[in-house]
Amino acid sequence: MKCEYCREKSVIHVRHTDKWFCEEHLVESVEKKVMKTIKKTRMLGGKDFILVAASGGKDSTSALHVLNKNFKKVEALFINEGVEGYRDVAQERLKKFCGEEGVKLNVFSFEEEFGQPLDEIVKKVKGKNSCAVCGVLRRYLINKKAVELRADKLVTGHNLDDTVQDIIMNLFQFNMELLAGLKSVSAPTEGFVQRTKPFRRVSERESMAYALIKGFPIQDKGCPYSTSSFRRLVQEELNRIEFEYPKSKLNLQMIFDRVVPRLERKVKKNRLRKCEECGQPTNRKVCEACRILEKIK
Amino acid sequence: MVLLKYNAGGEKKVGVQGTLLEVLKKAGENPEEVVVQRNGELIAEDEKIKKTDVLTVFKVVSKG
Repeated sequence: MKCEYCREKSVIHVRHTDKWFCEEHLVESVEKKVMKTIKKTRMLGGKDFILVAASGGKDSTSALHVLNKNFKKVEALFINEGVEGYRDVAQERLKKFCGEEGVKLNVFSFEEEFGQPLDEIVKKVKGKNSCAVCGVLRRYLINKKAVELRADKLVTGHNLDDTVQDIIMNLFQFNMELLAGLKSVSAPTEGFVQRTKPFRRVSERESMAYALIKGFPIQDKGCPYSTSSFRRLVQEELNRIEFEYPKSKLNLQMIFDRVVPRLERKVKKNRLRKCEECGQPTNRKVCEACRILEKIK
Repeated sequence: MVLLKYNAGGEKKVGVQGTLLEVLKKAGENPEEVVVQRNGELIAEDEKIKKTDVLTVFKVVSKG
């Protein structure tokens, strides 16, 4: 098939829009989609100091590129959790990318902040999934550093597939509060830097194709600790449905966007207070990150 | 045989000729979960694949 826009040979078929694109027009389409999401939701302002939580993967690296092209003050925040042979590779590639883009890269590590890398932490925290432990500590550190760096907005690379999986997983697990929080922009909350997801309308395939066409030095291998079989199951089923019934994922996200304001009003939010140990916002006396850190002392 | 090389490691040989879509189906891959390059260039699902082709398959769903 030929590209929808220029009749050149196409390199990808985007099933949810039923469009065929050449390299040039796929790049243009992804960038337009991101900027349209930003404009429509007003998630980022021209004067904002934007911090991109960059993992070195395709989504956040691409987000960093698009935002750096369109906004004045953009920096990257990388957390090295300490997974031997995995995170160091991502860090090196991201360093190279940021050097080429002229973006300041802020690097922090579990080892410096918590005294030990994830490789050691997972051995000590028994009975907990390593992804859950890493996720709590990673989110804790990202927010802490975003506050310290005085960022106005924190951008994550969540794409269409990620956000739809989150919706389904929280529905299946009856996590009403988490479900209501899955918006494109998080609600302003004291002690938190607002999180935004400008890539939420871009699919995994579009994001990967974009990064490959641009030649970004991405980390394209999965984490060796990745064990979320529930997410993988949801992912597989959604992709099976999407292949047979294109646009299912986008339709689900669009319906969710319409009902989420009502859902938010229905959900009773737990009042946040300061963690007695670290001072970060939490709905318990001591936050989950501090509970984990207590166990690994 | 068409040779599929996976970006995350591993290889698969597929004894089918035709479009990329047909090759992916034969290899047990959901086209919704991959993008494919031949000689460093991305190719679409309707691309004709020869039995001597070597394809690089990028799984888009691996998470870290």
